[in-house]
Amino acid sequence: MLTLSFIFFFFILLIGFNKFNILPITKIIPIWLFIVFISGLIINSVFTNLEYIAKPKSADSYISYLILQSLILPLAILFIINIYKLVRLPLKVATLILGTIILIIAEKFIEQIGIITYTHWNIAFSTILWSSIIMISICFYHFMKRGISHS
Amino acid sequence: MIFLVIAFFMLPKIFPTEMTISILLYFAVLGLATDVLIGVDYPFNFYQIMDDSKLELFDVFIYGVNYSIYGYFFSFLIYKWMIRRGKLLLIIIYWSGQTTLIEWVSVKFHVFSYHNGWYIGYSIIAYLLVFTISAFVVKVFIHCWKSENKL
Repeated sequence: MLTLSFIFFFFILLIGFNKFNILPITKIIPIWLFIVFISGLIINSVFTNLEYIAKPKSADSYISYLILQSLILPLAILFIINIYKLVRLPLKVATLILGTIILIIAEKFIEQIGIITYTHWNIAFSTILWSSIIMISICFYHFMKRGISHS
Repeated sequence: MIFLVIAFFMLPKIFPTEMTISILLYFAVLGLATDVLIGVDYPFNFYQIMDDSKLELFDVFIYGVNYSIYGYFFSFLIYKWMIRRGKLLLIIIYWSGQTTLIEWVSVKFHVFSYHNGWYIGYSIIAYLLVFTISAFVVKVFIHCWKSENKL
């Protein structure tokens, strides 16, 4: 049931993204893959190395987690990158802060519905995690934009 | 690993940089996702890498360098020879066989150890599936970059 709800949510988000997006597909693909790779490494080390969050242990929760990590999270960060690209400097910082807050709230919601279970996790870790993932993604976007146009 | 990096830099650059990064990231994500999904820990725990299920710095290099460059060679063959359906099938079978052989050697040297009924025969089927999907993904990448006149 959770899986179907998240698939439905992903498609709603995708429709919205298609209308809003200003990035070409040749930028979206590497950024998407980069977000999945980096977030995959970080989140898996939180699960298995630090053991601060318990991995989902039922099929429905586990598939939901996979959809969240590989589809909804990259799309959400691509939304943030789009907004970041559109606004001027003071608002770029506000976009980073707002993006972090939204992802913290989303993570809390996911914990509330039982997909993940906190063991030694707290909001300070969430802030560090999501702000880092957003900033790394934006750095990668700049690298794709500047680094490659110069090469 | 060093051999792969040298071979990667010695190959003629036939893809635009953005596409090269996308291919490398795709195979890195594929390696990570496969290890997380069917390998270490829940839900299947079919194999273990080295002696620990925890993520190590060495694993990050394996995903980011070995898996990605190995996949890049596969993509290079597909594009360079403009392989059509029949030959593509042969390449997929060859590449799956070669990868299974590498895995068999790794098992002999205790890099991998199988659990819960997994054996090398399942690996062949898994690789056939993985490289068939990957060939399709590479074709999609080629189409995307061609549609934006970047290839």
